[in-house]
Amino acid sequence: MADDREPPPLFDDEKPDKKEDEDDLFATPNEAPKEEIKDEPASLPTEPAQDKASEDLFAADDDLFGEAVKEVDTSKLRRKLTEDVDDLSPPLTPLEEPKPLIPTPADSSKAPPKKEPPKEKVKKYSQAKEPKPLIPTQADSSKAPKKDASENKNPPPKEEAKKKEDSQTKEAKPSKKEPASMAKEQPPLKPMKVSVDLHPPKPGEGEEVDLDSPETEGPSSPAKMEPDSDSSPLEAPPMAEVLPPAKPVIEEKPKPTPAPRKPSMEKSKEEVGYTSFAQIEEEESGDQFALDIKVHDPGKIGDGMGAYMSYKVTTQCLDFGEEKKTSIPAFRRPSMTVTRRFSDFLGLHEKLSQKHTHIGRIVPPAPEKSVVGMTKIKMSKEDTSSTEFVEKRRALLERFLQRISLHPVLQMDPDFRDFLEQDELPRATSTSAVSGAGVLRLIKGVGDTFSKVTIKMDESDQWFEEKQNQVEALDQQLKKLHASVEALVTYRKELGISTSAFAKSTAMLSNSEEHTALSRALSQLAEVEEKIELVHLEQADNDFFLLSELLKDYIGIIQAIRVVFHERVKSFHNWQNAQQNLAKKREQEAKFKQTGKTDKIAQAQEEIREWEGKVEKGREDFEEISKTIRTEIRRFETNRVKDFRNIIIKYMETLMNSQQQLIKYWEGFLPEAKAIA
Amino acid sequence: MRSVVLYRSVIAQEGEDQDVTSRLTSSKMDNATDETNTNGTADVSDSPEADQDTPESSGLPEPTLPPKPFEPVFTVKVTDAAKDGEVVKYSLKTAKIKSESEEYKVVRQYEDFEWLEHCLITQNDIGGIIVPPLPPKPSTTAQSAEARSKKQLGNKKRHGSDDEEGNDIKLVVGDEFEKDCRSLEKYLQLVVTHPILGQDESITKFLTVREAPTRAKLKKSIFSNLSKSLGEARKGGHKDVNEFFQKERDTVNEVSLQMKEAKENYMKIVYGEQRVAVGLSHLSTALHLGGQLQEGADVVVNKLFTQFSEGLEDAKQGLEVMAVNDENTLGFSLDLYSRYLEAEKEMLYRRTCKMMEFEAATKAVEKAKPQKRQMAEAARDKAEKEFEDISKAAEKELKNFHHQRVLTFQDSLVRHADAKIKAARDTYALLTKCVTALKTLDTNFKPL
Repeated sequence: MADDREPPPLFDDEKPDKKEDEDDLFATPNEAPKEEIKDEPASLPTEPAQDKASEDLFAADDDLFGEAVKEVDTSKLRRKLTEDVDDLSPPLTPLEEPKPLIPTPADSSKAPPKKEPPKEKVKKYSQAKEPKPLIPTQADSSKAPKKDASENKNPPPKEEAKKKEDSQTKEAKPSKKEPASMAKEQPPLKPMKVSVDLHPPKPGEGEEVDLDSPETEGPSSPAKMEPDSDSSPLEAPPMAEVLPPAKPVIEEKPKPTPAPRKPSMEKSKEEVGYTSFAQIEEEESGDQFALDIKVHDPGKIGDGMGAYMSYKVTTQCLDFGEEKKTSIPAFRRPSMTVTRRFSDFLGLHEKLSQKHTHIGRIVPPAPEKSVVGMTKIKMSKEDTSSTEFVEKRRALLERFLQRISLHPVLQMDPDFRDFLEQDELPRATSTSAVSGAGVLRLIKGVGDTFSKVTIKMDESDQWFEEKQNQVEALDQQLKKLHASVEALVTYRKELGISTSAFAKSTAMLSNSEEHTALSRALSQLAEVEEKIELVHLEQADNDFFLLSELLKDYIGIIQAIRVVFHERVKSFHNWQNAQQNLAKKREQEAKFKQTGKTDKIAQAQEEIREWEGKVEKGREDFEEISKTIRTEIRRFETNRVKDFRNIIIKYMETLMNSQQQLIKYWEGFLPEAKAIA
Repeated sequence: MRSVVLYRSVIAQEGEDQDVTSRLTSSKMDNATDETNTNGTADVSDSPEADQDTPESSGLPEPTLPPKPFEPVFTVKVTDAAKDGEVVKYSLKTAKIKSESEEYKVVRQYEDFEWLEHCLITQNDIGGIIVPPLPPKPSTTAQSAEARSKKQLGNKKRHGSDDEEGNDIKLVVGDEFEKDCRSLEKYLQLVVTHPILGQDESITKFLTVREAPTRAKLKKSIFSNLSKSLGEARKGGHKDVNEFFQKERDTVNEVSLQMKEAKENYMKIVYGEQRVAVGLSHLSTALHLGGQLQEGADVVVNKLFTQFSEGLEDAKQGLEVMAVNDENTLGFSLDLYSRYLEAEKEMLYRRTCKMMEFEAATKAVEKAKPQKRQMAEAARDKAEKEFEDISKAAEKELKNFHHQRVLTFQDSLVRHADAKIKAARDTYALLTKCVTALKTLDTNFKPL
């Protein structure tokens, strides 16, 4: 146990050096104070995924609605930025300094070049993120106009209510902040709010956040703020940048540092949507940081049966490695790309599970090796027939890595780091022998026997008993859902095929039709149907990649959980065995004493001591694994809620998108039909 | 024991001003509350028919038949169908156009329609007439229903699910009578609005006399059809003297095949939509079933699932509405014309026969010995006259027919697209609502 635990601290030790390296590379004058907020990052690592999801989610909304808002947003932001700076800086800092610096935040090109890309990214994120805290409302508002158009339903009351809420929160806020800066910030903030920031109609949560943040972070931030701005005047501008889009709540935190504007934004999101998650994450993991991992460019290497697929793995550190440098071993580069083949992924899984499974950590399941799919690829000359398979696998691998990267402990594992970072990786030989399917079968066998074993183990801990039942039930449910989704995908594809067949017959009808207008309309209809076929197929893909794969992943994770439970049982047995042996030894000793074989007593006592140690260790191990599993399960459940929520919303939005496309196509067709006669 | 089977209203395309939700929910309730629907039903399903017909009946005769504009005497509605034992009885409501007060209500069964068709064919000179096709006899037996639903669902078992579930899939196909009613109604309208057949005595009787006409057993169909198609195959290739008809014959042969194919493919889409709807509803049920776990994260996930399953239910409703509308608009026209084109083919065939008779007669005149020459010439003249008559009638009829066809297709395409747009909009609105609900859902939970 202890051995395994060691790596993280090690990293921590290394940290400072690395950090210094990075400082050289990226440091901007205003970044110095970052270390002070070490505690903040705690909740961050899980967020990137969410961000991405939300970004995607809002892509749709942006099309409909967000475009204008966004524009207004940024321009206002800019303008406000400068205003804010002017307003803010005088009280805090000498006037001359901020002025020349004003351009820096708005125009990041002046920052050191290396920093550029990440910064860009941050910006993008922060923009994309602005809507995030508003999710509920934004949906409302985006919906409202549409409805207005089509049905004349009035959203105004709702909006008004929201505004009220806004003002309420705003009013509440000032008291918590330093009046000086607050007063000035408020006015520019307001217009922003009206355009973008409709406060979510979740007053309960909002309040909760309000309450939380001052308590946890509030005290420290004002304190930090002044020294910061004194020491580096640069601070003010970035601060301002954070403020407008951020929600009232957040404003307390962003202040301290310029760089954390991103983290803080995320944090705010966290808090709004997932207050409790954030808390959980904070408790359970001190050091986490975010990686954006992409698997892309699958390519076939070699020919014939020796051929294999290789994938490029690109990792981006999400740019807050810096402020956590002290506690986190950042990568040498902010972004790196390596080439990996499939068996490397399996190898990674193997290594991780060897290290972590037996101490109760849930290692995300390895992707399955597919002989059929691979053979197809090996045989096929061109990629077309197998693109679907490859794409499926690519997405699978990406999710696999992302899941690991989100795990507070696994993400620190040196093997995982090497996997992402090293150009050359020692070939994983063992995995080629043990295919994913084989591993799975093995696991399944374990799962089966495991249930028998548990019966023997009288479960002292009710929590575990409940959890095990719950996990089994969950497994059943997910499998059922998975089957349903699979069927749905099939139906959807069939519908696509039928649509395309009808498109063809329509085209033929149109060819032999003598009435010109009707013929044209029919050929238009054929085109429309072809497009609709694509809509169906796309939706089938969404059914698959969003729902089906999510369920499948979770079924896999549940397997991993079972394995972990089994490990606990094993650990329990070790402990019990040790205890039995100890008892035996004691008996022996007693016997020796009775029989007066004094010469053997010393040896027996030696043995007893030895076994006492083992019992103690067994007990510790068992307690340790139980504890780890509890944490892991909690993490699992938190992630489960998050994952399902995000995916379900995303999926529903794809459904909406499909409907929109249908509307578009048929509306395009309608005049054509009307023009027939 | 009279079990009344009511058919439900499914055409949602008429409900423009209705609130989205109420519309979809009302169709949601269809199965449960058939009775409440009865009154509204007939009207809803009828009105599109009426709409559809007005352009044809009013717009048609004037341009094509300027000398003697034909005014149809009746308007017909098939309002209801009820199963009485083994026999399905259709209620017909007829009104005289000129005096609206005169209304007739009669009850007919499919055999009566057959008899009507028989009378129309035998008592009129149908040489150059495209006789409106009587829809095929609706199957009412359990087996046929099963066969049909099998066709709709595809025969293969769903993979990835156990048999039990596979058998579960039962399409909630709207009552099959509704479709029959619509087809028969369309048939009657075609007859009534036909310039020649519409004046026939038997149709008047059929529509107005309470007692059904004597039901003579008609055995002709299979046999005569068989010999006819054989003849057609033989004579179909015969070259036409008239370019117009030659072209028409070529086209109709081609088009009628394509029309049939298009219809079949179209129905596959409809079935496909229904199947996806079933898939969605299964998923939504599965999401509901999961909801027995009551702790920690499960509570939240179950909340999410419940909301999600409502969203899926909405999507399913949307698809079902779409499927029904598809079938009622474009599907209906495709089906009608795949049969109607057959009727046109038959008419052309009758004309081709006349033409061949005429040609044979002409040849006979050439070959005829002097003493029989006069007789042969008389025969030839007669054949020629017949042929010319039929050609003339046919030309008129064809013009009319194609005009009508274009109008029908325009109408159904427009309504089809309209219905699609509406259904998609409604679904979109419902989904939006659901997504909002999902997003605002409180996902906090107390970990155990």
